[in-house]
Amino acid sequence: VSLVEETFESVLEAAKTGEEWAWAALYHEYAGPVTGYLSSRGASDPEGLTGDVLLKVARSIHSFSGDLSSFRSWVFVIAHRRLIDERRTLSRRPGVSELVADPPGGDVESEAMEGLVAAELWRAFKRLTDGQRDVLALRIIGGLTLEETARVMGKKVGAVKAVQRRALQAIHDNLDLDGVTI
Amino acid sequence: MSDFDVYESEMPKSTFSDSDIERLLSGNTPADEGLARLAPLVEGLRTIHSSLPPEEEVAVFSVEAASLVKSTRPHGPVPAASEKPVSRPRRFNLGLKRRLATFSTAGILLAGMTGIAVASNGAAPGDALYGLDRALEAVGIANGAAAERIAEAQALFASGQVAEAVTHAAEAADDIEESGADEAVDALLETADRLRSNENGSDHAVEVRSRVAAMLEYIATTEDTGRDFGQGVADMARGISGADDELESADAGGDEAGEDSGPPDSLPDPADSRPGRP
Repeated sequence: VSLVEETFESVLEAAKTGEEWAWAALYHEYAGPVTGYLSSRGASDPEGLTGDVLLKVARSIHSFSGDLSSFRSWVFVIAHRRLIDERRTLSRRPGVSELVADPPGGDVESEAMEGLVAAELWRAFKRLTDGQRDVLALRIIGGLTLEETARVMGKKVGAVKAVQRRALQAIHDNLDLDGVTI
Repeated sequence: MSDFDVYESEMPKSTFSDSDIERLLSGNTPADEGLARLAPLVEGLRTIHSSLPPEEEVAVFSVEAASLVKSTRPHGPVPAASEKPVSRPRRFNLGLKRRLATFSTAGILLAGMTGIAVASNGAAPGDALYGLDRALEAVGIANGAAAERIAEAQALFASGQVAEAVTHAAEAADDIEESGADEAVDALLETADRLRSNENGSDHAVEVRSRVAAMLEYIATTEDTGRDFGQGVADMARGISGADDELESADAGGDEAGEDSGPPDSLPDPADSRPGRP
């Protein structure tokens, strides 16, 4: 259990009064998962975007009231919106139809997964739709609950549950189609 | 069509149970052998995307964030750490005042909010739009001088004329007092939370509530101003009207999965709202 999880109310109160230790704790807690989420979803500068997201949190912290789960959702709502903004901006540039169509320096994520995951499993994952991968990234990398993910996506819990079930089933079925035994 | 718009009846049936899926996604071994085959993928994703920020990065951020908080803090000096914390600090949000003022003076709202009027007429305002009247009331509370106009707005809302009601409230907000702007922000966000957490009623009602909630959050938190803000609200209001149409179609075809078609365009597109664009 992290400091933020254990003493969220105190950390939030201190963050609202501008205590550096509280912001250090919040950065420790969220910078990794937010960067991971943005990176996995193809953001062009995940670290830079994470900084923007958390500074936005600092700018708006006075207006926040709620528990740890609400806070976590709020942070990822901002991250998700920034990601959508970036996708839309890039999609309007001539010749750019997909944010991660041809990332500079190759597909870092795929290279990192080599050796950790069977190639067929990774290929099946890459075949998922954007929406399915958004949900799985928020759940697995962001560490969000079903309810928190639903808040971030602006959907009902049942809808998120159905999307993740279909995503996992699709990966499984693709493995079967490929005749893979793992 | 987004992933959230596909109904379960149109998809191949999954053999995985929800509890097993939760086990997998939380890093535990699921009972189902087929699902267990995916565990290395979950573990791999978690491994390659988990990292701790360098200490110097944390230090730089914490100084900048703390300074930002102090500079944007509401009225009054920062209390010493030993002081008893204020349970709900006052905020000063001139941005909301400006945005709400733009709301009315730009004249964009009325056209945009037509969608809400349509939605409310078809979805019983007292159910689907529960809470919106409270948000209007809160904007009114923040602006005692315009109480009469707010009363008119609430009367319009009660009679189902939501578009006109919101326009009245926005006009009243032109004179909003700085000290009350934070109350309006609170009210908008709290209303949005209430709307989202209420999953009662038909899918239609839930959908409309979800989209209205997204719009209220946008109004309360966006940094857009001027024409961008007006266009953003208009876009989202049109999305509410769209939800009305989509869900009527979906209801006709049944909704076995209980899925939410959601607000795919609930966020205004900055590129669409640049000055000079229609």
